Amino acid sequence: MDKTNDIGLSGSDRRFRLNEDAYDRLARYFNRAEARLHDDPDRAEVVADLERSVGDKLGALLGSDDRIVTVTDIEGVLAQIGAVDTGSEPLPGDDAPPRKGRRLVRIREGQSIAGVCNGLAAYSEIRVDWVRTLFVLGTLVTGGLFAIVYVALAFILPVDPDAKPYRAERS
Amino acid sequence: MDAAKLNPIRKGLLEFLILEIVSGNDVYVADILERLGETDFATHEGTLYPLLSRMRREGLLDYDWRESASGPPRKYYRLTSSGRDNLAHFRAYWASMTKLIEELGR
Repeated sequence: MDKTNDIGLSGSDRRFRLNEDAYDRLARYFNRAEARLHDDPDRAEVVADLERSVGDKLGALLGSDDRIVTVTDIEGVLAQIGAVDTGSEPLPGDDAPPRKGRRLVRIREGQSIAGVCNGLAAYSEIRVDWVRTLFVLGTLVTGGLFAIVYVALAFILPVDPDAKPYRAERS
Repeated sequence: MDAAKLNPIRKGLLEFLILEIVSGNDVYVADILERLGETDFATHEGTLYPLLSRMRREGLLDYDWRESASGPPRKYYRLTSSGRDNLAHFRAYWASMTKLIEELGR
């Protein structure tokens, strides 16, 4: 059986069961929303507004059915709500394909050492645990060469203050 | 004409159209979306929530919570006196703009 995530949304007691894809899609939407609202003093309130709206629409969609929410359900709901637009910056629409020319950066949030593995993980879309494991194994096998590469990257790569590591949990 | 050229105007006007809509009756977000839906100013909640929260911060409008028959409680918005002043000001300005455009084009 597929793994499901049981979530609650602001303003409602109802719990929803989302499959993995649906959950990822929703987490991505809220990550983006929070990033765009980062200098909005009412960020928490706006996010709660959006959560309430998602809950409202999902509730209407499912009715009394307690089935598992799919990515199609989530996408339908998010299409109605639309990407967060603060009006202050040009927006590359929420549904636009991922930015080309992705930059390799260090990501400090959740870093172990300098955020190099975190940045590589975000860049390659490989889980950060795997990237770290590869680096540790690589260091052992190559007699330290990977450790030197790591230190070099730590100096070369810029820190991206806006980049966020993939955030797995959201309640 | 290139319709994209009008985008900044549309964007800037949205706030005043919301003042207009909220001035009529106490409304919640779905009402605003519905009123704008048929127009050139159709928008989404993703745009409205940040805008409404900013307008509230600026003291133009305020809301209170009301229970709804279905789903969670809703925020019902209403204009503050400052919001009313702003709307009156905007209407006067808009009238003068229309007049100016007519005159210049003569």
